[in-house]
Amino acid sequence: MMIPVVARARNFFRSLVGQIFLLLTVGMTIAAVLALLVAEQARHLDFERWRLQRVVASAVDIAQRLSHDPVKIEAMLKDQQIMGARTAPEGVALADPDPTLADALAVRFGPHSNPEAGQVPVGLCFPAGKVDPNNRAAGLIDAPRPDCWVVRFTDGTGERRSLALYLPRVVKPPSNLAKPIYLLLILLSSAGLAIVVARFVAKPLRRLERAAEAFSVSVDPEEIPERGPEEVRAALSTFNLMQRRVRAGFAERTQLLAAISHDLQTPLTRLRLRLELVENEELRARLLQDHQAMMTLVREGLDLAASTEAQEDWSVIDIDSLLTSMAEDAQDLGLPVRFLSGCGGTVRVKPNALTRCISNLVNNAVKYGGSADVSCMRQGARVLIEVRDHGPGIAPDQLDQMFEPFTRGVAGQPGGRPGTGIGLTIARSLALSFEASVRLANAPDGGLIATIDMRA
Amino acid sequence: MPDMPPSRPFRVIVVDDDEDIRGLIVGQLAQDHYEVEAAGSLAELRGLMAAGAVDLIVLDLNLPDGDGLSLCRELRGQGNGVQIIMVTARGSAIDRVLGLELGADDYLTKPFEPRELLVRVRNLLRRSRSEEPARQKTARIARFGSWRLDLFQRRLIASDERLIMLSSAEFRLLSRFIEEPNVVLAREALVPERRATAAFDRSIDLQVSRLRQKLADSPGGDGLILTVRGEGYVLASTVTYE
Repeated sequence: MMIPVVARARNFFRSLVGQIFLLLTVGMTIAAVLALLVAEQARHLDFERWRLQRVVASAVDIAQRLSHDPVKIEAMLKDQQIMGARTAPEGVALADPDPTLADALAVRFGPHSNPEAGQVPVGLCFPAGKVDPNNRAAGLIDAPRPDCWVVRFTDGTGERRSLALYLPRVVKPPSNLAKPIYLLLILLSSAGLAIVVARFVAKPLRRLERAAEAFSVSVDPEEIPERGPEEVRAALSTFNLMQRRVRAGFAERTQLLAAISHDLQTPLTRLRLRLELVENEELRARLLQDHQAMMTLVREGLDLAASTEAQEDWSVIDIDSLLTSMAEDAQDLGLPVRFLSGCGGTVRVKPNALTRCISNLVNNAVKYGGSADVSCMRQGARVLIEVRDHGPGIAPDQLDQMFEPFTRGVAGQPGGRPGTGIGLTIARSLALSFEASVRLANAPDGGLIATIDMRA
Repeated sequence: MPDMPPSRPFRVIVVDDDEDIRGLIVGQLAQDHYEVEAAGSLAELRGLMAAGAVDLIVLDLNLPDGDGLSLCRELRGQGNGVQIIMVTARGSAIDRVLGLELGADDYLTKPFEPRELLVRVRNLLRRSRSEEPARQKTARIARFGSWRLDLFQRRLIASDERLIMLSSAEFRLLSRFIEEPNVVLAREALVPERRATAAFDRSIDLQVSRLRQKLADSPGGDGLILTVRGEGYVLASTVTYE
């Protein structure tokens, strides 16, 4: 149960869609988290600045009041009659001076004010006396205590002022960044976008792949419609062009072969008729043999050329009647061909192409394997026609090569006997014309099996 | 033709644009004591035909002043029943089926075995002499029962357009039945080529039974070929051509 899932996941991540998906999901998540961290930092800085601005506002306010009425305000500060400001106690050292705050004060008081400032423990703002910090109403017990600042500066009259300012502690609201639900949301939306993009990118490639596959099994496939973004259109159009060129080259080769074979027929006819006039029996027999060999080559050349032009109409045929009648005809000619088992029913094919395809395979089996057993079976939606012999078979590494024209197996090997070597090429080309394929395989108990694989 | 000596020699015309081939074929046919003449073009052929009755034409399709097909069609159109053997190169646009459809009696591809040509000429001439009821020359389909037989492609067509393939022996047998429907045919008449041994030949019965099996595949097909004890077989159906 687990293994297929793992295998499928591995396959997915090896595919283009999988890799784009992975890259985009991880990349977008990291980018989103980084952006949030930066925003969080900015928020923190803004908060600090805002806090300092309030200290500055208090300091500036008190300094203005002092310049208007120094005596009264000094007295009020000493008596703690102003909320949020009082005279700082004597002899307090600033353990933690705040240069940012000092700079902000210097801007307001002028360069000669020489300000100093820093946060100090809250007790300094509320020295023991009127208020006992340890004695408070219950509602204040766990509440945040005010922040306390000491600010020193030289005012316009040259007097050094030292103020203790307190402000209610403002707590920065907690960050949302650490919440798992937000991370999950980012991850999911990244993944969603990633899969859409990956599919979008891979779609034209899929189409190209399917078209290439169709091209590999058929010589006459349909062109792919040139749709999609510009680059995709260009790729598809190039593919179509290649397909057309290959087809044109193929047709040209076939025409050349057909033309040569065709034109050889007249001299061969003359030669054949003249051979009747040769009186030396032995010479005549040898010449006839040579003539026969040439004729076979010409005939198969024409067959190969004709096999690529699928002019025949599709028909529904009774498959067993075809196989039995072919076996009977071969037996009438004294060939060791047997019909072993049928598969019943009908198939939709091009009957003459199928007949010639089977007959090529049967001839090969008889020629190179000594005999041919023909059988038919159904496998799912496929119909398989098997022609097997009991000969020596073919070395496994040469099986594919056998379909190349003019291949007859390595000389000296049992298969390397005379023949034109186009039989299998014709068989495969004929099979393509009715959308079937031809395979060769060695039988486990000796002999070669040629299989025609077609749609039921 | 040892068994049927002609009252006069057959008159055969060989038409081919290649002078060598023409001469060589004439030489071959002369062996069988026909009155053989040669023509290099359609005009020459017409001249020879005007000069007297012709029994058979060996017709090449590529001629300098026209193609043999139009001539073939023309002759058939005039109701001329002269036997025609069409000779063409393989892989030309004309295949066997089209040749037969256009009214040729037989069809041979170049290069052919000289002996094969002799045999076919003999067969056709025998047929013309025996004055058997020649079927309509261009008929391609013979209909009997619910079956149709494609005489050119040699296949059976069922009523649902399904094709049933026949072996050569089965086709020959069925053709004999169709030539003489509703007539009891002895084994000798069914396989004239094995006349001498046919009376004892069980393989004929086997072939008939195979043919019956194939015919039984379509509705009403199992009663088409009947056995007449001690006499032979009969095709119990009328035959129409189309």
